[in-house]
Amino acid sequence: MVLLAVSVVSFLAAGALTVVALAGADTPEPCCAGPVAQADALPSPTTAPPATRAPALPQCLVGSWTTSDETLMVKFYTDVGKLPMTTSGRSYEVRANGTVVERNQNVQLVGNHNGTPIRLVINGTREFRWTATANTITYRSVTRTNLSWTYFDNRGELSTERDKPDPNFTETNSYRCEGGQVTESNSGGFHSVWKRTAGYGYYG
Amino acid sequence: MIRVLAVGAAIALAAGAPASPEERAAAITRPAVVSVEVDWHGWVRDPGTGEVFGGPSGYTATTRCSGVVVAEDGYVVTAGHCVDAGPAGGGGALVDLALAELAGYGRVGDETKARAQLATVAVVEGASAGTPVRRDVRVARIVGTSSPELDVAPATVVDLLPPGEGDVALLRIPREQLAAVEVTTEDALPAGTPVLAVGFPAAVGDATDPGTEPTSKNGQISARRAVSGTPHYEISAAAAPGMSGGPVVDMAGRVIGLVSAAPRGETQPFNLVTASSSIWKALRGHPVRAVPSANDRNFVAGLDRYYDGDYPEAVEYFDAVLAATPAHRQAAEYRRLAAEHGDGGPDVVLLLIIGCATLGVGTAVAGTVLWRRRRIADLPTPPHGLALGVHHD
Repeated sequence: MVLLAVSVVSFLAAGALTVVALAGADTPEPCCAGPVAQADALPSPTTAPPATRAPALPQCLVGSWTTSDETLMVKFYTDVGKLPMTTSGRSYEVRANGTVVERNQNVQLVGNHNGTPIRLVINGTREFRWTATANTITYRSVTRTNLSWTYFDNRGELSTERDKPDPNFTETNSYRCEGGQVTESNSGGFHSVWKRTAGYGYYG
Repeated sequence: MIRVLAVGAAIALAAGAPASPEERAAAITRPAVVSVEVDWHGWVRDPGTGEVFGGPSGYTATTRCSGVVVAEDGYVVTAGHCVDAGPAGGGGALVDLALAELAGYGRVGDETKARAQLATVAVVEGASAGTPVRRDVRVARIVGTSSPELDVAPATVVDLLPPGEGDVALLRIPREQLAAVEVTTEDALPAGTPVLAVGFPAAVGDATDPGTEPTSKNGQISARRAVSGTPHYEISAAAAPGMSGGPVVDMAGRVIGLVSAAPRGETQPFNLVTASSSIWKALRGHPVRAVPSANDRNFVAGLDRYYDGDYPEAVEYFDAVLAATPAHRQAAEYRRLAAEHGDGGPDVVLLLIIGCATLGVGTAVAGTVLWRRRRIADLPTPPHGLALGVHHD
């Protein structure tokens, strides 16, 4: 009797499991209207021609500068040719809008003529325009100025000259700009080294 | 009894080792994770001086983020800053290039201060003043069943919530039947909820290398935060640069948010995740059906069966996924694993049915034999010594 009962229960269990298995057998959901398009048939990124702007003034020259070593050729005496005079401490603000502001505060230029010391003191501010290529810098058109030059030699003060705006002013020098320093020169004997200072065009 | 034990052992062998919740969540999520690359082209102008940085050809920068497909018909979400031209996005990348150039000219003192200074005042623009920078967005995903291939699609920015407004961008790519993941509607998950951040870290390698797999970083929600008034989660999962915009999922594989930002100077794993409510905000108003497709459900069902040890049925589901999307890399991978496990492996229910049926037949036969013997034993013995009803040929 016991075996009969076990047998009946086992068959019932097998049957029930079969029903459950058949009823519970999941099938994947139907998906999608059709096969997906191949990737090579689909739109890929394209590149449009790059836009450009007109060349700007060299970024390396833009900024605030102070001369650290400068040799200028100066017409000191009316009857003597230009004489080399050395100085430092002139400051320039070379602006991105194409203007330069030069500032001088008792800047001393020293030199000598036939063994006699000569001295020139510059004071004041002037503004002019600038353009540059990769190697040359050109100054033009003094638009504003209140500069004064005072000449001294072994006799004392000789004279003082006042600068005037000069729309026809032009001067082209060669330059090299790298790492916060500009070296400028020309064939006439002019040579100048500028060091960058914090101020205009300087960040941080 | 021995037979019952044998069936039990077979059942135990048939079931595979249970996967960790993270493993399962990663498996669900990875097919939908994409790499979002943006080429930026523009100039940087300091309005204070009028100076324009970038020269005639401008600056070109490429930024890389992660993203996730939320609807099979080509909708992808990523972090807003990944496609935003602001300081936290492409604008910042172009400003960084300008700073590097200026530093070469000796025009930068303290780099951090300089960056902050330019980020505050500088204008990042296109070829003429006031025009937007050029932005080319691409979405790359790894496809291919035998060998990985990269499918790169152009993307359009459908909607953009900048960092201050939620930091989510909705993109659209011209692709169909993509693997997508579900975005949860729960937006206030409690601290302690385990999560997984998934994406392509930029440091790991070039995401344009089709061999690169998305990385999963586990952690949990540390706190709920409001950033500029928008809901965020703070999570303890690590997220490297490049994972911005990647999905953060719960253990069910549902997107709870997108990797948004890592606070500066933070050395411990600590990241901010924009909450899913911001994703829904970006989706609102657009014809996006952000629900798992039949194909996604089949894939998840296949994974469930795979992790339950029901390999033949898992194969069936993965086959259905591959029939619809033959390049579904993960479906192919799990199908292969399931087939390796499942070929000739016992079916649990079938084993039970066979066991019960065998037990039933066995007990029925044994019962019949015993009953017959008892009946014969009860009959009177004839003179020939043979029981009646028993024939000998």
